[in-house]
Amino acid sequence: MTALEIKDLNHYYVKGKNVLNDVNIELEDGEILSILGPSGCGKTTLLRIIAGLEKETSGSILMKDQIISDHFHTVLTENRDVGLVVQERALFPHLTIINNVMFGVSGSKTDRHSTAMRLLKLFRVDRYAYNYPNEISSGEQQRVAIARAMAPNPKILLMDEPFGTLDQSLTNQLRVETRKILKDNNITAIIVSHDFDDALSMSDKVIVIEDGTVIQSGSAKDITHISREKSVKFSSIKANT
Amino acid sequence: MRLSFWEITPITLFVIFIAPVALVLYSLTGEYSDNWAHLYEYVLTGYIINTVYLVAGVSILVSIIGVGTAWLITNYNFSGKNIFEWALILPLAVPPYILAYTFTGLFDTFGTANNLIRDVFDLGREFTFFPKVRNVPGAIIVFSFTLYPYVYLVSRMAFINQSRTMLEAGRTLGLNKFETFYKLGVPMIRPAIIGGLMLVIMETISDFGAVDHFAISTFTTGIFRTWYGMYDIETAKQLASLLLIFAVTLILIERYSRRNASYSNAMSLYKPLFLTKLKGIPNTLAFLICFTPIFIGFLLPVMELLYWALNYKLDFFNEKFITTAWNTFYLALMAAFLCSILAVIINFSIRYKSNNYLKVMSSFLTVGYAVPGLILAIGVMQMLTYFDQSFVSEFSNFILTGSIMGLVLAYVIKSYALSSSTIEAGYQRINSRVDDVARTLKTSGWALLAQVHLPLLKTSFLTSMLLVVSEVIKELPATLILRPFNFDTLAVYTYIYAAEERMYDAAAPSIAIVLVGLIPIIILTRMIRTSRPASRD
Repeated sequence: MTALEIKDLNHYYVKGKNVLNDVNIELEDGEILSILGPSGCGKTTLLRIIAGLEKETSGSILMKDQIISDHFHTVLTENRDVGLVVQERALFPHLTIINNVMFGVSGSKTDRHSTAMRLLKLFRVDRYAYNYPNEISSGEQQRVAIARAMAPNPKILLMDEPFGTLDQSLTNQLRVETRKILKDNNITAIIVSHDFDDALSMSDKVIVIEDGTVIQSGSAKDITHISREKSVKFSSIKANT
Repeated sequence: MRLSFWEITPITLFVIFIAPVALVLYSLTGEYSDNWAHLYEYVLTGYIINTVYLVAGVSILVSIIGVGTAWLITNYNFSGKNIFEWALILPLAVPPYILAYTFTGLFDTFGTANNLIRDVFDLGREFTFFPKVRNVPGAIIVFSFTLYPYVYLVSRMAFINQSRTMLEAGRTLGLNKFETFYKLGVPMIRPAIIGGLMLVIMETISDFGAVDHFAISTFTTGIFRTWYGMYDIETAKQLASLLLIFAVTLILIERYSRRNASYSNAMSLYKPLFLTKLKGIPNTLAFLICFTPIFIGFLLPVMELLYWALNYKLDFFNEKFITTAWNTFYLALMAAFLCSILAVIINFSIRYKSNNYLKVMSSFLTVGYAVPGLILAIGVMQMLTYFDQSFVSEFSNFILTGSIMGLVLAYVIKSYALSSSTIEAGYQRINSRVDDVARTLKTSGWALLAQVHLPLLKTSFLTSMLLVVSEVIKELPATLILRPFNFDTLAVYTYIYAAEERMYDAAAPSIAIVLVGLIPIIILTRMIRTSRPASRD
């Protein structure tokens, strides 16, 4: 089943200066897609539009074959059933780790608690359940942020530069762990990154955006052939080509 | 287009808040009396020059005192620090007009301080040690040492929330401790400082009591003299309109100056500051820097008031006094809660709806602070009378006019700027990505406000309550005009005695104002001290 379909999506803030041009994406259930591109290319805007945090200028978005946004109507963010992980983590500082993860889960308190604990165990941060975000390391905070986004069982998990502020060894470790958890739980995910390694090690599909236009798309292996003429300045691309 | 609660509330408040001010501004379209020729010819330039001098002098002095003490308290451990932490806001309990009364009592040619010097050194009556204070520099000192807590409070709150990691980054890049303060610490909290400074400036330009006592011609004294001296209320309202335009210009300049600035921290990355222990000369200096404003702004006037009061029979602790104190206190709490909750709702609406129209409207809600209380009271009274006559006359006359509601409305309009700037500063420290994530977790509207924002804004909310309570307890002109029949507050007592230059009689109710003002300050300061928006409580 198609988890997400984006058709002819365009977006601008100032008329005549498009930040996204005719973007078309199709993503199957359980697939992981990476959106690659340099800073300011429009990839985060695309993610925000999918989340419903911004409204596209034209085009349509379908989730599980249901229109969630087009010219005529828009499903609000809170009703879209998407999970969001951001680079800054944005954990609620006044809540404990367990309460952060329980935050978006509905049901009885016992059910919410057991769901949250299961995810914390999955990400190996259950021992910090009753700590506050400022009491754990940045890598642990990122694990909690992903667990929190997964807890309500969203249709799609959106991750914006999820490992951007972490050191390399921690990033490598988290990439492997996160991909395994996403695959084991058959979660559809979109990862926005400027890091080529994120795309290679985590995703099934990759699209490359430059100046708001999709310049390449395909499997992760195909994308390793990005032409140097396109001048996509990714930090790690040289090391992998 | 269907409007939601988050759009309807700011629009409704905008209409209610602006109506009294608009009634005052409407006077500009009326006829201009012959008194304008006299004002323009002889006094208007003086009003403008004195007001500008006052604003400039107070701004500089208040910034130095407020930011400097806040930095010391937040980053260092030194003798008396735990006391200074809350004592530095004590001058908030002393209205500028009371400090002005005590300053003249102390430093006039035959004031207490000069008499003391003559007695100690056995000098003649012609000898005067302390310079005259009834002038612009004297007024600058009076305003600065009573109003600096506004800057101190917001700066301290902002410094507390600065992450250690950012300051440590500065140190590793070669900055010494002082450079870390003025190159990193201060610029990072610039919005908070400017917000606090705006409150001080608006308070300064709208004050009447202190400048009148010092016989300095400013816009406010001009307004009152035109009203009471020339019996020309229309010209007085027209002068008030000019003052209002000046205040609006200041607000717009402030907004423009921080239009592109983003100062929020990633809250999850917050790391609390380590305190540096001071010893020797630095310890003494830090002690003196924190003690001086408390001494001048609080201890000195209180000592003088006590001296006056003890030379007069202390018979004000009767039933009438208790009723008056209670009236003052519950009015202040009611206004403070309303102001703070409205400020939260408005600032949330702006953030939630990302609507520039709401943002502009919100700016206008704060202009009430710059309107002299008396003029605002006239505007509120005109509005309520109109409302009574138009809508409720069939059932009963004068339901709103002369009621507590009118008084509370005036307080809320007058004090809203205090709450709004405090809550806005609090919101600037909540990363907008927190809202994005909360919305994907099915939390929006009231739930987002109650479950995420309010817990993070707790300190700001308490600070806002503190500022408004302290403001309302001291408020005088609007209370005089709008108070219900046979309803007094402590400020009314003080005013009646001080207006007749019966300073010994004014001392007791003045002390009472200071004491009543101290209760919420002490309670709320302790609550603020134990809470921190970026961490658990």
